[in-house]
Amino acid sequence: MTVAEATIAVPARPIPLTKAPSRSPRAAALLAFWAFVIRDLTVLDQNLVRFLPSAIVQPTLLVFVFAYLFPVIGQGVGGSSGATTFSTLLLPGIVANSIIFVGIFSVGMNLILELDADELEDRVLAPAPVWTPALAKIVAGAVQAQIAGLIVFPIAAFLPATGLALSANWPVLLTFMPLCCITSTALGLSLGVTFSPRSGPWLFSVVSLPLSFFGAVFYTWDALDPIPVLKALVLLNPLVYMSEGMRAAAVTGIAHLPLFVVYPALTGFSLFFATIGIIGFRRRVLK
Amino acid sequence: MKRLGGVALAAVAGFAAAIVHFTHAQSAQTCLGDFPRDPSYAAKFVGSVTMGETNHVLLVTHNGQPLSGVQVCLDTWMVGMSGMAMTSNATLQSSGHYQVPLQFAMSAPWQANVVITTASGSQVAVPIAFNVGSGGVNTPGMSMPGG
Repeated sequence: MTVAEATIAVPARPIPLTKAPSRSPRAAALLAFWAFVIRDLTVLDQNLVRFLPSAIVQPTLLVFVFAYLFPVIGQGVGGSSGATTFSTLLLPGIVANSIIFVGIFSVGMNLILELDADELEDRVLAPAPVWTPALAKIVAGAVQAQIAGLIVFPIAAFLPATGLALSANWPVLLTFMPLCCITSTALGLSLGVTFSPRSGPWLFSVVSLPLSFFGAVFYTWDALDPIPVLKALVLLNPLVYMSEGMRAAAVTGIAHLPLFVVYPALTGFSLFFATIGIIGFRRRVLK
Repeated sequence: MKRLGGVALAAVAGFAAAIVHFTHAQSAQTCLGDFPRDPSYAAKFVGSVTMGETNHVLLVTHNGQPLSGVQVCLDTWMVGMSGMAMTSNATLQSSGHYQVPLQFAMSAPWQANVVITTASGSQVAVPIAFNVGSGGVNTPGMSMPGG
């Protein structure tokens, strides 16, 4: 055989070394996003035994003490005509408080641990922007927060010793509760990328407790008139808007911040916390 | 994901049940607020009201006749101590007699609004005043009845 005869025949059309993608980059990113959301919800499904008690115990204790025990033993908060009024204004506050607790602890605390253990490295390798897992955490966490918020209503229906002037404003309730959930999980995301496991206890004592006590949970924002400085300062607290908005959505006869203030404020907080959270998330995972 | 779906459904169902419960019970449970007075209605406790007891009976009348078939709610507070406030629905025992399951924590003058909700949904408030006696409860620092 001559050298010419030993030459390898070259095909007329070159064979491609890689297969052409079957979906666009946007479709791939969207698929990765939903995969992350389903992944987080699956983890929640596996950890319901931990989630449900934490979602049920806190609102149950608050409703039991303030709306059942106090009235029955004659220490109803609010004076002669205020026991039912207090129970009525308390319910939306507890709903908002439950939602924000899920955001801070179920999303924020878990993210702290995942980032510390470098458990997110494989997820950022997905064919999607680096911040996609962070956004998925907001969405999956919002589902969790929504469940926690809904659980409060049957507790409040059957536990209090006083009446409750509940009156659902459906358009507000159906739009505002999801917005609260998004805000709380965005806050959780921003806290999760900020704190380390060693400063995790700070989440409770320095973040969540002040948020709750100055979040118009046990009183209306309007009632802070005697302390104007405090009344102004608490407007920096997103829980104030959540509590006041839930009062507009779920009860009647209770003064609350106007909706044209509450909706934009909470939307602004959501975007602010989500931005901080995503920027921090990118910095942490790419470090 | 089935368990999570079940929990989510249960939460929604509980929420819906609570909304329905509140909607139907609201007029019965809410007896606080400003209600019109009607002198044709009257109310008084039957017998003495004492500390430690939880079954007090209220006689409600309309034009002097025992009134049944209405919802009765009691909003009561201790005179001079606004923090000692209680609210309770009353249940019909016999003609015009309604049982009020409240425990009065202190022996003192008390006041109350008896809110009557008629079948048509209208509500009237009957203000009453009464004394809660110690009723033989041996409280340190307080004398026994008759002593």
